[in-house]
Amino acid sequence: MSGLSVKHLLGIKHLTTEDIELIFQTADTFKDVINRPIKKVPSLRDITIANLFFENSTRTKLSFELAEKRLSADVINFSASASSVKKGETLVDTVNNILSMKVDMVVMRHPDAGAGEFLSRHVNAIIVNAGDGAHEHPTQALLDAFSIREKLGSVRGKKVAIIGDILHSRVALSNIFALHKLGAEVMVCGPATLIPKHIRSLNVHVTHDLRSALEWCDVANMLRIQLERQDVQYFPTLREYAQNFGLTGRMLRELDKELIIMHPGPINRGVEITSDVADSPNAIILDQVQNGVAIRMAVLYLLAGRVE
Amino acid sequence: MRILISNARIIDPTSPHHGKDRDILIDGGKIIEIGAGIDGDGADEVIEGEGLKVSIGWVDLFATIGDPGFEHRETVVSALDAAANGGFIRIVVSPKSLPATDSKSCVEYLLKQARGHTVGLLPLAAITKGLEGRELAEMYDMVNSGATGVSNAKRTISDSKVMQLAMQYAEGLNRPFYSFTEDERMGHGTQMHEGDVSTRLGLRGTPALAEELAVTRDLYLARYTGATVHFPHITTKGAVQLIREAKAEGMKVTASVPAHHLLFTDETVQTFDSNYKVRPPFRNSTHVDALWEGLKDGTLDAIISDHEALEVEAKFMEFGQAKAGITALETLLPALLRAAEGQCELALLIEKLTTGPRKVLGMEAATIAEGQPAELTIFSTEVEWVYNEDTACSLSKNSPLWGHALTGRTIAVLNGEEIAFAKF
Repeated sequence: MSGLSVKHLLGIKHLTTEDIELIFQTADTFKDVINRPIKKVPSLRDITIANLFFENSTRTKLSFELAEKRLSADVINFSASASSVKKGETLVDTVNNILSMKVDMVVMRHPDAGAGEFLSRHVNAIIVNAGDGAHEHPTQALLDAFSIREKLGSVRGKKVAIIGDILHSRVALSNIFALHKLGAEVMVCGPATLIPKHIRSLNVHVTHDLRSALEWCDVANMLRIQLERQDVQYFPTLREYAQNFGLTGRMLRELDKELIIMHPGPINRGVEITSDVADSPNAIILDQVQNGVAIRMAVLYLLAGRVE
Repeated sequence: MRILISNARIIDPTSPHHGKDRDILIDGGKIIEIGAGIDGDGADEVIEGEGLKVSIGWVDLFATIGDPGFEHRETVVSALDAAANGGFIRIVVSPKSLPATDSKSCVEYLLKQARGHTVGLLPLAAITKGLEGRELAEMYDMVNSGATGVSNAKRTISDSKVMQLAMQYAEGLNRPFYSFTEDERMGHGTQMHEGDVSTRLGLRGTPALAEELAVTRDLYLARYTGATVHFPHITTKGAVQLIREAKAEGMKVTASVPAHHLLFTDETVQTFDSNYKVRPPFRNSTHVDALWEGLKDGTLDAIISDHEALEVEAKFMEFGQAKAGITALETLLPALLRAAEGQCELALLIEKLTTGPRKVLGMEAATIAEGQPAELTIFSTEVEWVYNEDTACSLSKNSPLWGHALTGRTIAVLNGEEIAFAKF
């Protein structure tokens, strides 16, 4: 039975702290499951899930698909570039076509903010947002917070710096919402052109100096520079970006503390972080990937309790 | 035709009868008698009812209908029906259509379609060919064919040289020159007002600055050229202040605000309902307060409907893909009444729909007095109604008020010999 307060997972902002704790507890169980020789449970045996990706994705899609299969759900995949859909049928028509084949849940990535919320009002299925524009990427934020909890015992009272392209990042926004709900402090760091002007309204600290962010935080979440999302030049060159906002092994060694390094992937090695950082014991990047499957299993399992 | 308006409260600060309940007798398109207890015998039409109010006929300074080219959104006739239904006796129509109103034949087409309707259609001629902001359109030819003024619809003329020449060239027309004010590059690809709400929603915002930069440039160009300019879409605190200062300086500028910008803020976008997607976008309450200040102190001369009819297919989609606009003519009164609660008196709203727009258009002042032409809007501020298929004339439903119970309703509009009743 579901104990979540929501019917869909559209964004972290709709979740209560209790919802997040419940997802974490459920993910703990599933993490045990996926480390067993038989990694599969029959929980969603009668459930059909459609993964609709209107935007490129490799790892999120793989992670969801694996989570679905480990829960024994039936899975169908639909990928289309948003532009090809734009020319033809509407989003609601596309989804209703798929739902008429008796699909219970929809996992959707879409280039437009709010696409999941729009869909949830107009189709009869449970919607899981796998990323909508620069709005939310709730499962990423959950797995990030889950990974911090795993590493540091708790999220409460921890200081997390999110570093890089905040402006185009749904990961940053969902992380800010999730970390605040769990009692952490958040700082964002990057060139001012990549930080939303009104970000302070979200009660975050802001700096444009990487070193001061690193000195402040317990956890550094290094975001990917998303050149493909930039319609104008937000900074002169990757070289200059890397020199001023890239995390190097030398910087880590100069800090008088152990810092946890996270990255949602895929990494641009030598841009956001150097290889020695990515491969260092401080980095929990691959733990994040593994936790991603457990978190997505937990979310799907809890929401599926609502399938009628 | 002899028409009696029975026992209506006159809302017209320019009239000696302002604030009084009077009977008004109209014959041959003129007000022939105003008084109490006028006998209705012999009248072809008697307009009566509880709580009637009457004002000078309302004029809308900016509506987008899209005919020709987008007749499925609104035809000239459906737009004029909607205008009458909303209380207007004249509407100024944006040159945005397909083709744009950028030639004499386009103006003639609009006027021909509108002929014989109670509501007058006042076409705006495009300032540049195809509204593209590059080459000047034949503005003299269009004005000589009946265009009311010139406008580049909601397309900013980014090239300052072209804008300067357009202002200078149009000066000889002695007609309103409309300037839409959103810096094109800053507005490009944006979905809403930039602020706390856009930050939470991950939607790209257009800052108030985009409007203020554009107003600033056009005020400088107007100072340089000596042009008279109307700013139809003023929506920010900074822009109100710029216009206020320009007026104090003695510049020949006028300005108006879209009605819905007085009612809604950017908070409405929270649920990603595309009915709240408009251009310029809904601002926050600081800007809304400044707009009211501007209306009260005369910085803002008029309130416009900013009507923009759109088919359901342009709205029933992801917020980022949906087109911007609200079909607004028919709900202007209830929207304004709701927005004005605790803000201002009815007389101020009416002034911004009557005296204000007439001044912008350079029309003769009108007043409710014997011997004056019967250009009147009869309405109620108390009637409750539901905005739906039974009460609407517009072909489009793209309004956040669609399906809602509203308070305040047009009863009829009179334009000389013509009368149109609202659809109940």
